[in-house]
Order: sequence, then structure tokens, then C-alpha cells
Amino acid sequence: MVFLTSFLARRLPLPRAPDKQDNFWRKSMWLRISSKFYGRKRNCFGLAIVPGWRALRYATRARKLKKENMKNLWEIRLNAACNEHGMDYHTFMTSLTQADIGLNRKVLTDLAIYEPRTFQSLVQFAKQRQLEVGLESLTIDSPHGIFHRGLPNKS
Amino acid sequence: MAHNRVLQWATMARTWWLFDAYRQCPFKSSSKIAYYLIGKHKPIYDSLSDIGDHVVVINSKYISMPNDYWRVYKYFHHTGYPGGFSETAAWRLHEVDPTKVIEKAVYFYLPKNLLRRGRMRRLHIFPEEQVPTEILTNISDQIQQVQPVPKRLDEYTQEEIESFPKLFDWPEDFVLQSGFKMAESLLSESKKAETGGKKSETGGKKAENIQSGGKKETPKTGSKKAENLQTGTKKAENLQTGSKKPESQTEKPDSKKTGKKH
Repeated sequence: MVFLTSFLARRLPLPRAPDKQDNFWRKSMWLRISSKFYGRKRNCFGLAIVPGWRALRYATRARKLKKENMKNLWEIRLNAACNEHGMDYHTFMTSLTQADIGLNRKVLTDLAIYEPRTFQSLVQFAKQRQLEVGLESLTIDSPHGIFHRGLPNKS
Repeated sequence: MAHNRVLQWATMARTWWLFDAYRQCPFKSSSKIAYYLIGKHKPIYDSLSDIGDHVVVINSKYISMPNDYWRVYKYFHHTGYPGGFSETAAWRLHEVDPTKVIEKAVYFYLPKNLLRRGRMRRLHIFPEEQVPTEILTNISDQIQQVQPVPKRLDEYTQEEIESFPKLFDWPEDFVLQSGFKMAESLLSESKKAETGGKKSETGGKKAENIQSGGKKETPKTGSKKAENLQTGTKKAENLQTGSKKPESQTEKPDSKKTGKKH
């Protein structure tokens, strides 16, 4: 139910009595929610109202679930991206956090997909940090195809 | 730029992985194989996109089940008719088709959706090391095994056994466990039965040689040897020289056992 202008809204077949007009708007609100349903519950108010309530309940729940699902997906992807460079996901994230590198999972995932060299250098940074902290002894390879100015290029 | 384009192709391509299932737990390895079949090892992973890789499993005949799962682990089937229930032990299934155990394990591990059959079609299992050339040419990398391949005691060389670190020598009057003695006697009997006649004596002597840490002196008969073992007495000379007699004694029967099994 889209009213682009007040002129179009006035073209609706509204009931004549003003008390019935309120009822019309109330029903159209619920039918707007059920506009994408299947079957008669799309158009019949009596059938649409209960699935409409349910849809709103689902929507409330889904607002939270979407964040969790996206977080899980990013973690899986980042884990895969870290494993490509011989790095553990948790170690990677911990060392970034400790170094005050404020990149979240979403940005890191985008980097891993679209800018793999950038991501590799981040992994390399995390490995270097692990070496400096002294928790793990890891071997570091510089990103392929990148020429350092001051540092020796091992790979 | 052209190089970058090729890199992108490699991202979207299906790579082929090799997995050597020699002495690997089928359940542990199935989770690892499924990881690659689903495509969770790629940064572009999505649960609904079909980006899994091919996995070629070799040596599926030589998988090793945990505990006594060969006997205990059962596969169930019901025809739908009354009395149509049947169950098959894992060893029986493995005997019929050596690729089935690992195939079923992977199938159960994959997510239950419409992509499952397609993912299973990308799993190629071979009972032995022989793989068709058209498949072998595709393989570009190998999946790490899930557990270290155990080495049988008879696969160790004598040098390795002798150089194995030892904390102490057994005391002279130390009595070994009865179970060990039983196993030793049984093995010696079975060995006699296998070889028979003159050969058995020589074999026995050889074994004694090894047990006594390469010492030249050997008991004349097998019975005498058994007595020695039962009483648990050992030559003082051997102990004084610090030979690896006790260790070799403890290890050898096991090795025979395993050898017999296989």
C-alpha cells in the first residue's frame, strides 16, 4: 500500500462513515505486513492477522539472530583465511586487539576476500607480534610479489 | 592484470585434494574431509553456495577404528516390512566393501540439505594406493592426516630399539606379570606350530638371541627358556653389562603379537 502523493491516497475507496475509516486504516496496516504471504492470508484480514503477529515475533527474534549468524559466518571465513597463511584465528584476533588495530570481523573478511595481500600483511604483523611477545615461535614469509624498501624479502 | 584474473579463477575453481587414510580414524578423518567438501577452508565460504572441493581418499582399506569399534559399531537398515530390521557390524561392511565405512562417515557428517549428494559426488575413495591417472593428474595438494601413523614394533630397527631411552634396569629377582608369561608361551607354541621341525628350533634360538640383547650364550632348549621366563630369573652378566634385555623382552612379544594379527 504505497501512497506516493496525498492525491493518490485520496483515491482509495474509503468508507463514508468516519468511525469505519479508522477500522479501514487499522486493517490495511496488518494487510501491509501480510502482503507477501502465501494464499488467502495475504488478502483476508481475518486470516492475515494471526500470521501477521507471528511474523512480527519472528522479526523481533531475527534482529538478534542475524547479528549472531553473520558473526559466525565471518569467523568461519576468517578462520579459513588465517589457515591459508598458517595462522590460528584466535591468535590472529587477539594479537590485532592487543595492538589496538580496530578492524572488526566484517572488514577483515572483506579484506581477506577482495584484498588478500593486505590481509596477508595483517597476518604477518600478527605473527611478528607473537614472536615479540614470545608466546610462539612462528616462521614469517613476506607477501609474494611485494618488494620491501628496508626489510629483506625472504620469499 | 592478467595474473590477477588468473588468481580469481583459482579462487573459484575446484581444487583436488589427496587424503591418505592409512591407519586413520574414519570418524575423525571424515570431519576433516567434509570440511574440504563443504568449502569451509575458503574465505569465500557461504553455507548455501556450492564451492566445495574434490577429495581423493586412498588406502581406505587400511583405516583403523578406535577401541573395538570394528566389532561393536553397527550399521542399521530397515526394509519397512515387519521383521525387516537388519544390522551389520563395521568389520563385516568393511569386508564387503572397503570404501563404505569412510563413505558413510563422511555422508553422516555433511549437513543434511540438498547439497549433500552433490558434495558426496566429489568424494573419490580408493581402497588401495592405486588411483586412475585422470584423477591423479588433477590432484594439487594433500590434506594433513588426523593422527600420526603408528609404527609396529617389528617395524623398528634393532638400533632404534636399543637406543630407546631407559630409566632403569629391572632388578634380578623381578617377577614379570603372569599375562606376559602366558602371551610369551602361547606365541612360542604358535611359532613352533607354524614353522615346525628343525626350523622352529633355529627360530626360537634367534628370538632368544634378540631377547638376550645379542648375547651369544643361549639356552639349549625351548623348555629351558620357558622356565627362565617363568621364574623371571635373568643372567647377572646381562644386567651388569647394562644390556637392553628387559626392554627387549617386554617389547618383543608385543611385536610378535601384532605381526601375527596382521
